[in-house]
Amino acid sequence: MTKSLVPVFAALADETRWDILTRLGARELSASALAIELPVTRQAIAKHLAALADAGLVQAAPSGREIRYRAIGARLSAVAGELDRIGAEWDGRLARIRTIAERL
Amino acid sequence: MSELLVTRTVHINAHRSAVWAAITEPALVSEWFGDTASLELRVGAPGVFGWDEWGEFRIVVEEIDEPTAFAFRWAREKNTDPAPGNSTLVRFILSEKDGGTELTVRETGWEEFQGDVAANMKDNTAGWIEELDELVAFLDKQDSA
Repeated sequence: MTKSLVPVFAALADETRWDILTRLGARELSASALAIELPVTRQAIAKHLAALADAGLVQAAPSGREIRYRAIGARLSAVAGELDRIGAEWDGRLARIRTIAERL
Repeated sequence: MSELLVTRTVHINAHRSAVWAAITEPALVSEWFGDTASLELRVGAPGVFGWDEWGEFRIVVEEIDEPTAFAFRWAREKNTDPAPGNSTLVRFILSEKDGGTELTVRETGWEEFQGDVAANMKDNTAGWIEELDELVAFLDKQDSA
């Protein structure tokens, strides 16, 4: 696995962060707006946003007096690409299993 | 949350018992997964998959339901017992289909990885790519023969 994607997987491990990311994928929102939509305190939201930003999954965008956050698709695409590659490895292993089983 | 999942399926022209043997008998496992394999068919039993080039990776058997399901947790860190955070769960499902066997593999647990696993996993990944390349070369040769 590409080293840089490990924090991305870790960031996605939390259900609240997944919810936040899904919402930010639809539109830019501030931490306060997210705290209204989700059953989590604004403080907790801020912590999750920091984790998502560290993993390169969201980006802060100043908008007037507040800071809004947006999802960055490229990192998620990289995750999808990585999982595809791991899947291709399994294709190879399954092909070998087939050869072995059909010979038995 | 939607689970990060890798899943693949292959159809095999062999009886389910043959496929079961290929994925559970150590001597056969080492033909498609690493260079050496030690494996005991008991839930909770530890095992080791070894790569001449990359070292030994430990597993723990998680599920045995002959001949329909077999699962193990696989440490992606060398010489370390598998646990959530350093491992993935590999589950095989075997079903009878069209006079043969449909074999599905599901690998999960990607969300739990911790950062310090990365360096070893990089080694491991390089090994897989090499094996895959060898396999492709082998299949190409068969096609042209």
